[in-house]
Amino acid sequence: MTIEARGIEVAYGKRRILHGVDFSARPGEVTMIIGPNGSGKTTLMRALIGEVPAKGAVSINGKALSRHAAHELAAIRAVLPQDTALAFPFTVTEVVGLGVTAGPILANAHARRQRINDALDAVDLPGFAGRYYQELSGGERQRVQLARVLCQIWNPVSHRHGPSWLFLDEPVSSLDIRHQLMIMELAANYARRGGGVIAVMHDLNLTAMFGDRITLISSGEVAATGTPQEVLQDDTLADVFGCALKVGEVPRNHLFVLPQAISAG
Amino acid sequence: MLQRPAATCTAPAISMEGDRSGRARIAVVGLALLLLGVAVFGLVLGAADTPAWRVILTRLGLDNGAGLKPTDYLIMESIRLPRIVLGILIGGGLAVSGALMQGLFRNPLADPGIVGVSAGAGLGAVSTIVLGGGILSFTGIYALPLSAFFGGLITTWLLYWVATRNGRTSIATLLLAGIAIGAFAGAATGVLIYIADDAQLRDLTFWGLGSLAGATWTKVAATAPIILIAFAASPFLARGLNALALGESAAHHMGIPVQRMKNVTIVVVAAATGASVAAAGAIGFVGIVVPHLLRLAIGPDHKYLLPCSALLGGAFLTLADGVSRTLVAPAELPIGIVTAAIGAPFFLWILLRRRGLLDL
Ligand SMILES: Nc1ncnc2c1ncn2[C@@H]1O[C@H](COP(=O)(O)OP(=O)(O)OP(=O)(O)O)[C@@H](O)[C@H]1O
Ligand SMILES: [Mg+2]
Repeated sequence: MTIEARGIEVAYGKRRILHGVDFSARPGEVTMIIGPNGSGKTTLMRALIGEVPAKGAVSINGKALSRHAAHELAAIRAVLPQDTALAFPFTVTEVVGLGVTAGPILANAHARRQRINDALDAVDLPGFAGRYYQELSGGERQRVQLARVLCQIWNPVSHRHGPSWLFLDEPVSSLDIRHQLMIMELAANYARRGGGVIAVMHDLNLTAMFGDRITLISSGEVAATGTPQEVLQDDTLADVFGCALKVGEVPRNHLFVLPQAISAG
Repeated sequence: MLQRPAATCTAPAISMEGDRSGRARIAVVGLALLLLGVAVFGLVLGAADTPAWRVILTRLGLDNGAGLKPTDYLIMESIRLPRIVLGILIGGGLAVSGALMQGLFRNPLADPGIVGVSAGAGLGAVSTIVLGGGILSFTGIYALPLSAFFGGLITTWLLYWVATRNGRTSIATLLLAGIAIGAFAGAATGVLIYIADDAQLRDLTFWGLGSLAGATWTKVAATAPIILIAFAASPFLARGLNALALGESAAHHMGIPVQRMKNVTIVVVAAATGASVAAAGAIGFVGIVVPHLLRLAIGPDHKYLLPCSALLGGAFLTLADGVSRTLVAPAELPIGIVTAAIGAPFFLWILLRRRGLLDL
């Protein structure tokens, strides 16, 4: 009951973006994908969710991705894209409600409403239910989308389908520090309760703090994969990101990454 | 560590804020009543020497019918009633087509009339009248709706193919492609009219502006099945169109079979538009005015938007028909003039409000 990808190759037209990437993620863990801009993180995630044609094999919960029907996949995994456009003037409630509709069937309108309110509380947007999505700030929109995605696979583990998977492409990229922590804790908690979380990240300190496993992508290849201790090494990071970085440790095994000057690399 | 600020208000046990479904359900009932009222109004409206109320009451068993002439029944039941029924079907069909198309293209400006689908459907119907004598006798009363359907289908499909790339629709491309396709269909229709003989020309004259004047029960019978099928299919598209508002890949991740849903939507749009155009010519702007007003009132949820569009579209066209019959009585205006006179300024108003959002 994992996500396994072997030898993933993706090309957009003639340009090859991923060159044989292996990737795996386990339920109960937060798996982070990091790497420079354009290295192929989003592309890897799109391959894992079947959004781009890819060579190689991807399986989720023990079954090849291509052999799952769309509704089956919707029951076991939800995807937060890097950015989302919304066509019509939906309210926050209605947007989150779309996730509820895509998720497990709830008994009645009261339960559906409760789910929406719980999700809005989880992303710290109480009192936003009646607002128009289009009139929210970037960070608020990102949290509304996360609430929608959460509603789709509310239970980290389902009896019928096994573990559920959250795919998050830069879930905290436009959030303030308090909400970055809050959303990462939410993701970590989802994993603690048996679900799987796969997140594309840019913030190396949040990655160190909340990642159970990290895959470092560089120019479409895996540069390193393993625990934070294994991947977050001064030399590896400096090589891949092209700037000098100092990894340190604060008490209780918390790593932190301190950027140095670019030229010092 | 992460306590919520103490100042945030404590919500009541369960709040329904931001949920417009209750309002939308009331709207369904209200619009059904409105449609009924408008239908009765349309029946009663007309030359005063027809005792319309008495005929209605007699048929309902509430009047003994004494003194009513056979022509009174004839006027009511063979002229006015089919016209009302046809108006309701076509108005509803056009409004639902508009709502579906806007959902499909993810843009409130998409409308079968504006983007050339009606013109394509008209071309289909006109070709059958002028060229297709054989098809006419083979498929009977369904020849026109069917050929208009195929004309509309080809146009919608072509539009989708031109204007949508990688799941994103460029509204500029859509409108421009609509102009091109509409112009081409119009030119082809013009050529056909040029080569048509006199008898065919008489059939063709009303296509220009659209009219309900030729309504008969035969026309109702040819139109009703197709539009009713479109009405029946549309609720099944609601969930998919809602998800599509978030984009094609988001809809896919939410478990929607996107490609199939889009294909069905295109077929339903073409069917409803085609049947409408075949029966009454190109009546513009219903498909844009009605869904837009409804989105303002009850929100964009297609679960309610589609049935409400059917009801309000029917009421709107019946009212417009009433205006077209009475404004210059005893002559009558083509109904297309009335809907365009209301709809075109409305369309401009939407453009003004949405300026800057157009290249969505
Ligand atoms: N649809 C596309 N067509 C062509 N090239 C693309 C497409 N999407 C991405 N690319 C290219 O593929 C490469 C990898 O893109 P990808 O989006 O995976 O990067 P990323 O690692 O997610 O970057 P970022 O940190 O900026 O989000 C980039 O060079 C990008 O220009
Ligand atoms: Mg990316």
